[in-house]
Amino acid sequence: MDSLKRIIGEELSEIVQKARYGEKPMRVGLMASGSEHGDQELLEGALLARAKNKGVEVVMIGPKPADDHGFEWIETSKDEGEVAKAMEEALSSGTIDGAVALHYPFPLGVTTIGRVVTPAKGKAMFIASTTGTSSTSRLEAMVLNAIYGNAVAKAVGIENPKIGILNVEGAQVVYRKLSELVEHGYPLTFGESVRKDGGAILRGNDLLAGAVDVCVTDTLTGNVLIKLFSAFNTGGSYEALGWGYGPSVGKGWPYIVSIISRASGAPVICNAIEFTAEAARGKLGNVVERELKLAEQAGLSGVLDSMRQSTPTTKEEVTPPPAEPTEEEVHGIDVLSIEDAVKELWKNGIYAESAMGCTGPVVKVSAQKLAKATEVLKEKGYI
Amino acid sequence: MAKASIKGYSYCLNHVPNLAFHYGNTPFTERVLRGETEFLGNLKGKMQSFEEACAYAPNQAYIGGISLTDLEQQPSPMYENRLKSFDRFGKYGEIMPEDEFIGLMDICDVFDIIWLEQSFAAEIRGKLEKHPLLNESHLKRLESGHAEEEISKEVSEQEALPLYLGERLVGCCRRGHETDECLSSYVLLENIACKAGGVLSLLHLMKNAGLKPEEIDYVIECSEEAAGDANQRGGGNFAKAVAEIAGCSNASGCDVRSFCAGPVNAIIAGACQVACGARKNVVVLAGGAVPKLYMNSRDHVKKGMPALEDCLGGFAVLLGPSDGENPVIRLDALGKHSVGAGASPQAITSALVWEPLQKLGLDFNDVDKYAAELQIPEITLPAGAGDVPLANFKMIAALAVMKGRLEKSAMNEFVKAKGIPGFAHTQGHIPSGVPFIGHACDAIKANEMKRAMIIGKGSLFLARLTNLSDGASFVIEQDQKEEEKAALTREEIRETILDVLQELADDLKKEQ
Repeated sequence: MDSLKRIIGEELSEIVQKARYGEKPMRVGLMASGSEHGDQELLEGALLARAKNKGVEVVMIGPKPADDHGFEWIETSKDEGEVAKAMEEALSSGTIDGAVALHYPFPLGVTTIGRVVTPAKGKAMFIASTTGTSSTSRLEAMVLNAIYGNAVAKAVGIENPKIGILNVEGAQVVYRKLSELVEHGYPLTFGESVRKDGGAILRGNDLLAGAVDVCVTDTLTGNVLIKLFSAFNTGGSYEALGWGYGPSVGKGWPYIVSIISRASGAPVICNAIEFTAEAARGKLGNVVERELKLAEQAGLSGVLDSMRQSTPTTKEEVTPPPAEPTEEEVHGIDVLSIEDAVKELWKNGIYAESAMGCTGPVVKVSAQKLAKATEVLKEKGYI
Repeated sequence: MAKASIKGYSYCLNHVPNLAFHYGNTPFTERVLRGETEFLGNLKGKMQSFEEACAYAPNQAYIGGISLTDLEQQPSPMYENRLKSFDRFGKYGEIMPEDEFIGLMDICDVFDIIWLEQSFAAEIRGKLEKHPLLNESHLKRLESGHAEEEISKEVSEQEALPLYLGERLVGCCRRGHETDECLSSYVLLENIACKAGGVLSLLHLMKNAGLKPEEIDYVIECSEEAAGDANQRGGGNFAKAVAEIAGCSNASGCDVRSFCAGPVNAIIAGACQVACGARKNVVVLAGGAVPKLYMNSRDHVKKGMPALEDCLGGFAVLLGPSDGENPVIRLDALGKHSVGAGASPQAITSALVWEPLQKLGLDFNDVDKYAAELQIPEITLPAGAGDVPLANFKMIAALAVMKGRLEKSAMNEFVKAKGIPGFAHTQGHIPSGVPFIGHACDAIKANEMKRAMIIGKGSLFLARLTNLSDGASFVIEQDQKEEEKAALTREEIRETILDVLQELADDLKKEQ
């Protein structure tokens, strides 16, 4: 009787593990048309994924062929807009846990983290990022890409991913800014270059060897890298290796949409489906929010702001004349050029301050200089 | 999460072209310094009739007679394209004509400051008896009037200010003291007009919210006027004075001042009282400012336009505990313009818009509409101050671009989507974000909008005390009480079940 209880205990424990960490199949939608290799290629990819049986249910989205191979099918016409719409509906209704798409118009702030096979040692490496835009400023985007790359690697089960930064323009700035976050408690581990002098800045050898788990770069470079790593052995028209351009991440972004290209072959499509399922099982959205929160606590906003301010501008520096009381207001200057107007007055020896007046933005000057200031601003076309 | 719900709102205008012509600061100063000049003569020809004011689209948008979408579609200039059909009453309040407003000022007068001419007093009693919100206790306060000679004498010998309707002398506003400037007839006129505007808005609020006067616990008044005497120039208390006339016997009250940022600061103060459980029904209200009438009339007359600034604004908002139905004010992420924040438009916008959004974990696009100063552009543009609402929305868009949250090319689209047309009179505290609360709450309740941000800004440098600007902001959104609860509970329940099962499993495994 007692041993029966023990066995039940072990079984129950296993049930708890399963319930906690999930072996419920993840449902991944796949766009069923739009490949340069024909619709059949996409179907092949889905069949490969099903054959491997890694807890994935593929749901095809698009025009249904005569033989549907027993897949669940969300049917649409061949029209790409319609396919995309059906995919979005399935995502938002929760019919599918994630999707693999040939293209997707991500909003600003959302990017994708790809994964490649590095050729020297056959090791997998994430590329952060490969499409979309995490920020309009390139360096700021790279800092965010590091956090997103970290999140994706953690979501698919790498506990303590090693992060490196590709030696593109601004890499050192990004390294410094990430180091600041680390100093203030953001859990990010830098990897080491395979070169003798080491460091977290990656060169060509490091890419080939897969020296780190996550390679941080700007999106355009990342996009080129994915293409190279997945198609260098086929001449480019057929992407045979890797996991594709990867799942989407962004602040407050609720969906997992993984991108493949029109040139992606069946093996890549299969990998992309599995990658998406892994990300969904790992609750990528929650991991991203958690990582962003941790980074925020370590001062992310301040770091990003400081990067914007340090961006060199071509605007000249003007030293203001000595401050004096500014009791008069000049109205009617466009709010976007109000700081330029202030500098223009400084250049003319008139002390001025910008402010928000009762009826919109104003430039404040002293009563004695009001007439002169108005004249200068008129002459320069500010009013 | 600390929050308070917005349970009601009212918006009223008092159409007072004669008060404007005589006591608006611009014509008043002109008359004192230069006498009856050409400008004043021309201004007389540009005064609007009551019907014209009612048919002016922005005025109707203010009192809830038309929607903001309708306002946006109105061809401009709107003073040449007036509405064909209109009503004095809108869903938020009314436009009260000048004769009735003078009567209302007398009802609000406790120290016999306002004298009405006998025949006018009789006439106006007849009209006010028909007003749907004035009852016997109000009408009891209306005086029977004084002979015309008596009024003329008070004006010529005692520095009373004459009250006119066109050329007709209908009454006067007397002084409260012989030498005290704070009790001069001009200041008292300003104060009683402001009080009367507040009373009218409160009466409409109680009707709109279905509330009895006794149910109101506290009133916060937030105009830009100062009530006091030489020893305490701005002592107050308008709030309690307004509550008294409106019959709110259980209410107390106080005033909150911060130039144009007053209303937003007052609403935050009221919402905090409600959220902490100190008070249940708190009203924030204000009447209008007589000196600001016809403020830009010189430019309007010069450009041959009607003198549009002939209305005193007023509003009232009822705050109460979160009820799961009415939209709520989020108190966990208030915009605050700190002393060290800097006075440039960019610094102010950053403090009032970006920082609270970050606290909420939201992005610029997560707010459906932003409401900062909402002056009617047709009033400010001819005076060279530009389109004020537009300038604010541009600044928010520019900040979003600077923060890397918006593509530069999408700025115009952002301004169009997130902005609202100006529809408030140029009375400082009146246009400062608060006129949008009514439209926003209606849209939120109708599920057409999720979230709006109300931004109040002020210019403290006007008092020559400091060079600082001032500002505060808050977010209004759907009350997400139930949703939140459900989402939390599900997750928690599952985890708890698994914990219990794990313990059970561990216990069982120990058995040999």
